[in-house]
Amino acid sequence: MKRYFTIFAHLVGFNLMREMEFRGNFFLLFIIQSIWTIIQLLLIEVIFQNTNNLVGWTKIEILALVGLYRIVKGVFDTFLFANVLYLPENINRGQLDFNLTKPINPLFLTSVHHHFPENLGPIITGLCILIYAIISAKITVGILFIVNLVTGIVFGVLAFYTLLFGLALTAFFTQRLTALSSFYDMFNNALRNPLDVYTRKNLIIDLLLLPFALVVTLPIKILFYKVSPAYLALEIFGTLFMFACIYRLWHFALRHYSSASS
Amino acid sequence: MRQFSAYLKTSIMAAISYRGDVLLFVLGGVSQPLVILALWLGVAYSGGTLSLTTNELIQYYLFVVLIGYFTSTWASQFITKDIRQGDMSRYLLKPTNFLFFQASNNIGEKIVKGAYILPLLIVLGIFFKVPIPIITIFKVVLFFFSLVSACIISFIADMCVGVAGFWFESTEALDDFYGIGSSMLSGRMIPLSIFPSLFLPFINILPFRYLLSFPIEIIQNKLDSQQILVGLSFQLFWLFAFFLLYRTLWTKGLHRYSAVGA
Repeated sequence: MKRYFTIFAHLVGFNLMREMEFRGNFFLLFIIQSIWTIIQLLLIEVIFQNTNNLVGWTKIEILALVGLYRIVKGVFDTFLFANVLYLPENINRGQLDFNLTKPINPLFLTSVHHHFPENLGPIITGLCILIYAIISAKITVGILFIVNLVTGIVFGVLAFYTLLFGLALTAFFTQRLTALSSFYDMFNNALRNPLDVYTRKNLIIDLLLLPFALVVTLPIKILFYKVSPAYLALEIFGTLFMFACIYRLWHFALRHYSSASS
Repeated sequence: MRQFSAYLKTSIMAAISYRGDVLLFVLGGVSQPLVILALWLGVAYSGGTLSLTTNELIQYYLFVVLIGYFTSTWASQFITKDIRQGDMSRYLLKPTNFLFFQASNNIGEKIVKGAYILPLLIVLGIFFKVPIPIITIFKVVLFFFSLVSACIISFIADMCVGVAGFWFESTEALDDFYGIGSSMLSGRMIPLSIFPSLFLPFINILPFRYLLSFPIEIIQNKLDSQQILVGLSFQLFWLFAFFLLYRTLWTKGLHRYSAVGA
């Protein structure tokens, strides 16, 4: 385990050094992402000029969801997105060998090899929004709250990763999957709002969209006491179950992989 | 004309070869308007007061999907990449107009995408029982004129972003800035009738309204003849302005361009 942390730390360093060669681009993207955040906040402001709740969510709760989503998305975009996005191309070109032939878990290396450090900005803006929402909601921040928050972020990122990585794995069986970025856009558009907006508390749709609810909606509901803290178990075990399925699928898919050297 | 039709056929065949990818791109593009529609319907469901009825909202966003499909563009990043890697030479060496080549690619892919989007819109229209707008033949003609203008403005603006690649290694930031303006000020995220009135004079001058909201306002019979004529004048102004900008950037950019073997 210590070996994996060391390798990950080295990868972070290499990717950051590479990104800092284009410092201007790094800061410009930070500015652009901040502008997107402002636009999202403006949308929330306009919505709540017309209503005082959105399918049972108050403005502060929506702000908290936006903040948490920015953090989860920021972590995913920084450390995992590039690898998920490049996976279909690597499979198509037979370049996955670089990861498969190393003396390390290939799923680990495939998932964290490339980073986009310019996406660290949303983590900072998301944290600011979330802190503002917590203060406005006058929530007592104790040890349990911190544990729920950290768990929500970690398992939210893992849930987001398993959803998108699961789709990327279909590239082992299809000729090409350049439109994976479209799925990312779809998830991005949908997950930045509470899923209740789409489900309208319909139980069947709630169950169908449960994997997506694990990313942000459920963690925020737990943090803001909209559901019992016992749902944290659902968050943890639901996400781990999804990851276990993806892990099995990855090994099944690898049997269909071939390249010039295999 | 023969060149254009030859390129058009090639683009159509290329898009048909990867039908699955095209379908996914279509779903990705359609998801954002439908998600935002769900958000606004959530406001209405929660008892909020909007200047549009539920039926008008659904009709509006189905038109957003339709107009968005017609005005979609994607060439800028490919153009920038071609300039950076020196692949622009293959277009410059051919006796062909680069603008026509890109236009044929744009139209060709849209013909294939239309096979997915138009039936989807019809199904959604029937499902939500969206009434067909009843307007005069004259306004229908004006709508098509404004739609064609919106398509051309969108395409040429995208080309301007692309040929900025003669000066910048990456135009991703420019593309993002344009995307921000387009999302927020065109009526895509917030229908302009719901937008805070403080910003409307500013929005009416900028080109973004004329890419999306303006054609929809015509077809939804929200504008009288004078307002339509003023709007069409603005559209023509922005069309010529962007075309002049493109010609200037292209001419000056070619003087700066160099590649191996050129």
